Amino acid sequence: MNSKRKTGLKIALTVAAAAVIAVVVYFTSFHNADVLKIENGRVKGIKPTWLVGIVEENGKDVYVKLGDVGAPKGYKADSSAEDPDGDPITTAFFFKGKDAEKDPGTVLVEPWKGTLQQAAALEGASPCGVTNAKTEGEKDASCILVKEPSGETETLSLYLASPYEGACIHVQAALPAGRPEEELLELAQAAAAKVTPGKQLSPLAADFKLNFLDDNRWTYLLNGLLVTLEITLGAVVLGILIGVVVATVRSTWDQNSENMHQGPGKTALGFLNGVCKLYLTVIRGTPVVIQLMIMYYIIFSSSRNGVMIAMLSFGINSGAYVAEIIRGGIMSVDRGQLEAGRSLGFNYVQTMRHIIIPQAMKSVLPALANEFIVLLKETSVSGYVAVKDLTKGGDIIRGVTYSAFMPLLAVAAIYLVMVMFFTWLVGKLERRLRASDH
Amino acid sequence: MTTDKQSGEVLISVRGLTKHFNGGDLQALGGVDTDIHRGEVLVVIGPSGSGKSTFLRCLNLLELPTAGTITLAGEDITDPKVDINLHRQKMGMVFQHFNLFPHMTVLRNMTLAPMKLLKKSKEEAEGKARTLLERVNLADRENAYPSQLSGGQKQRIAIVRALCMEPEVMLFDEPTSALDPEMVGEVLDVMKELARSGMTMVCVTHEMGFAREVADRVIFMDGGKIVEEGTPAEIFASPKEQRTKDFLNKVL
Repeated sequence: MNSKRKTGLKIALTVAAAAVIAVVVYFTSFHNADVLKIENGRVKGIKPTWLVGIVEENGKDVYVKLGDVGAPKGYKADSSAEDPDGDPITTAFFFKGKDAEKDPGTVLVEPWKGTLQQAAALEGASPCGVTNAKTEGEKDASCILVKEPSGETETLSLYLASPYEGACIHVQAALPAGRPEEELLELAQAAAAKVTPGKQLSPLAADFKLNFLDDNRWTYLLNGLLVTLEITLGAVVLGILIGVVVATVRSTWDQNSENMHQGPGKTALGFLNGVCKLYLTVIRGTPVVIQLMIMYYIIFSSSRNGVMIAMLSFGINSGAYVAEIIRGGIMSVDRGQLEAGRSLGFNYVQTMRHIIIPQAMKSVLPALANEFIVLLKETSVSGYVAVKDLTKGGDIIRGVTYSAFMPLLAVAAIYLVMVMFFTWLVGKLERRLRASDH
Repeated sequence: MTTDKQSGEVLISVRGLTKHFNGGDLQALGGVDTDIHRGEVLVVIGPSGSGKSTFLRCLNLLELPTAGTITLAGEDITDPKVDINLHRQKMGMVFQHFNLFPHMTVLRNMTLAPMKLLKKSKEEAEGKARTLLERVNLADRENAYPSQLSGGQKQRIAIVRALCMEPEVMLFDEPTSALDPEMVGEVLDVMKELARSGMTMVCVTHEMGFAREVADRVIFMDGGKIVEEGTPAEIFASPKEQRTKDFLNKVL
């Protein structure tokens, strides 16, 4: 199979795989919760396994009017009941009040986006969960009660873990002040069990939505990606510039110092060589994070331009490694090339520029590409100095959503895709350069 | 006996040329004196380690002499203040291993130096290059890369690359030693034609046939010194020194 057909086949397979994954994700994203059909106030249909039970007292049902939680697509309300505003109740299970005096009034049951920890942090919250040995007689936080007194009535809010992972149930009722909350709690727990939220996201899809779609949190990643690419690009350019200069100085000294006339030129070169060796030792001997922090907190402490500081810092760091790579490349070019250039009349710099360095660069291109890819990943520590790069973007999302899975995997996946893309790009460049080798 | 070439103008003058390596441990040249005249073809022969290559490489200061002077067209090029690059433009060198620039086409190999150093325009440089390629029957290879050429072709290109700079003297460092036997002839033909056209040449070589046919003067070196020198007839037919005789017995 010739290479064009091979490439076409690869592309087709990739597209097919992506399509299969997309279809699978779509269909597992949503599943219809078992919906109770309500006819004339009675429950019909398959009772879901999470149904706790119908509260019954003396043969009479206790009704609770539920808030609107959305009918699943393709279904309509079976009940003909209406709420006081005249809106039909879409998913509801009715508890009829046993007597007017003890009527708990309108009870609102709805899904709640937060977590139980966030509920516990609300003003006036206290735990109302079960007591067990672990909690030493206190109620645990599987249920949170929030009381808001408002004159003659008290608004009580209960937050419970929902049968659906990752969601909470919020039950709210306005009760005459002084009514014991245990009644409400029983009602709430029974009602909560009957909440049919309609179209329900699978945990994976819910996680995705929470981390990336809500509040457009994906923009943290996009902006972070742009910053990462900006820093990497700047650092690469700077690193190559520094690397070529340092490599030239070092290799010139190593190859030629014995053939030079004594004099100011030789002394200057010797001095430059010493400076380069110092630079290489220090930069390669300390972690890049420390260098970054030294640049940010000490050298450029007056500047708040984190991106520029990161670019400089990673550029200087990369330069040391690039210098050694290029020096290896320069040394590997046959000495005869230098001699041929010199004997034509080129001076040392011209020979390096036209003859040696182009050949050196070609042979070190794989190593340089590797360095660039390492650099791309190294910039992930930019967050240490408050630079909002890709990794930091993921961290920010994680901090807001308390969810680690999606942000971290997404960040890792984006780095991976970038690395694969640049690897492919470099491969193409290498092949073009090989054209002159045959 | 002097040849009529030797009564001509002296192009290169070498006095007391000495070269040590490794800080004095190895003495490659121990005081060499000679004059090279314009238009002369000088062939240097000798056993390996005799210093003949070192001598040649000192002429254009690829090796820095430890002591001694070299004068090119009246100027002392061993003076540290001299810009050696200018002088090297006048001395073309051909290497044993060709040293063509692999990342450039043949044409670019040839036009790079004239354009950058002699400030020739692209048309001028390419025109000259093409003329020279014609002379060596390689006009159709101007866009090839060195890796696509045979050894003999590479060496011929190397010669015309040096000629593009219009040098006054051509230095050949064992130009055919790395070639397959069947390609040696084509390169020697180019060198012979160059000699006939009046180019001053200094060749280090083992090709005794070439020396006999083309050289005006032959120098036999051993141990870093000139042991004997003379016309090809003198050296090959009636060598005076014992070391010369021993060497010639081995190679002829």
